Amino acid sequence: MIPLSDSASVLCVLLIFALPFALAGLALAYAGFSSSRSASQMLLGSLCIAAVAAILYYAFGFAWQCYPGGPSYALPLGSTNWDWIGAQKFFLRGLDFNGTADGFIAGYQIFAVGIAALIPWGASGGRWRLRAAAVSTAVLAGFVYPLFAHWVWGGGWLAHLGVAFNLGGGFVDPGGAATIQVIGALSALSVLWLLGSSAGKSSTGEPNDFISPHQEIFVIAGCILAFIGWLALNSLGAVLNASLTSVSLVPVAIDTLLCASASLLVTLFISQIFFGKPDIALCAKGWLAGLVASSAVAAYVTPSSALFVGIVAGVLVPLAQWLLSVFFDLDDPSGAVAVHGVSGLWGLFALGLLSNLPKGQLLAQLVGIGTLIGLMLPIIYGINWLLAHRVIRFRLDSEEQSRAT
Amino acid sequence: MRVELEVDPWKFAGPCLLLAGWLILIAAIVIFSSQGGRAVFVILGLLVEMVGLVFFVRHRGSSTGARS
Repeated sequence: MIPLSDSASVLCVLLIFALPFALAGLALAYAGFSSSRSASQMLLGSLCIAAVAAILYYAFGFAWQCYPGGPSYALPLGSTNWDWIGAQKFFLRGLDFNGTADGFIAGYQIFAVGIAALIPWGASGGRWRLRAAAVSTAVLAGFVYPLFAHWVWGGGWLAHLGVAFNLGGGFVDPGGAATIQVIGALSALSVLWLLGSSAGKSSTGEPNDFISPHQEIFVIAGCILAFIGWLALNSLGAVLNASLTSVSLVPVAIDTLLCASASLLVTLFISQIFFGKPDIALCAKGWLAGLVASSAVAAYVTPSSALFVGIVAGVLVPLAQWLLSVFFDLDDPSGAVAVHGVSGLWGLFALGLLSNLPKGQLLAQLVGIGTLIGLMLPIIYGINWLLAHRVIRFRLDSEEQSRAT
Repeated sequence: MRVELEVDPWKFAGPCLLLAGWLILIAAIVIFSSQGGRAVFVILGLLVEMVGLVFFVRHRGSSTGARS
């Protein structure tokens, strides 16, 4: 790997140290979104989930994710080698933390995998047995996340779509909108389907998700902390995944802020129209959705385009949450699937539409989106189905939920 | 002799259609060299995935198995 300059190395270290703010912010927001009796369980669970994700990623995940130019397995098919999984040594062996990008990638990813793992836990709203969540997280962090991350960030086949098939710069995801957010959201979707609705909630298609969080201060504080973490997430992604220099990070920060701001104000406007007052839960989801969409676009689009992406994300979030509730029978009060999934997919599509990357980029982005829905969703659902039906009981009953607090 | 199936075969339609959509998408970029041809089949693949998603949602079965 090419060594980073001293200034870039210092910057990467500082940004890695700011990443836990994203974890803390999401954990706090999810605790606020859950019922009051589940809040402490949610916070403790968030710590446990982040811990399991970090250990499994350290042990196996990074070996299978690897880094561009690192050892990997490829399937020769036609005239192309389909690079599908990394072949680095387990337990970070063979990795020198001597200023080369691979060491920084490991440091960045060990936090990023925690964010992805936190999304299904947050979506469960205290209905998920912590042991089952830990087992599911182990599989996510140890295999599923690294597999897709290798395809996108480790020099895998999605990253090579540009070189091999002349599709722009290949599938591009600088800040992790696909790898972190959408993978987390697909896991959340699978888990929510397996858990079913909360006790006492109808599953008859009533739009039941616009419920005020029990602790609004937690939610707002979580959003502020998440913003700090997201600045680090997008900036690190821009340096390590998009090869931007330190001076190019100011537009990344501007795009992140504009995208989140536009999304927040649009949801504020929508909640004013529908409820006659600003709805805190919806506005918080709008802010987070803007951050998620910015992860895809912040490194590549102009501030005006980032503003547009944020506006659309702000419209999509309430619409998606209502549709998911009515047609997908989802009981997701934290809006994790709408915020991280729908907004992430929109950001990835918008990158192909609005960036100045070479011709064919939109097609490459569509292939990436199709892979997430068509391949990763069945894999993630299948794994969680097997865990829930053959390995460990997923759902807490209402008595256990009361005892868990 | 009549054999009763214990599983609803429609349950598998959703995941199968999702995977079929993804394979169409991959085949499109491998087989076609023109961007127009690829675009048409990539969109077709995504449409098949959307149909698969609808089947997935409608026929995935109850979630009660996970609770017992």
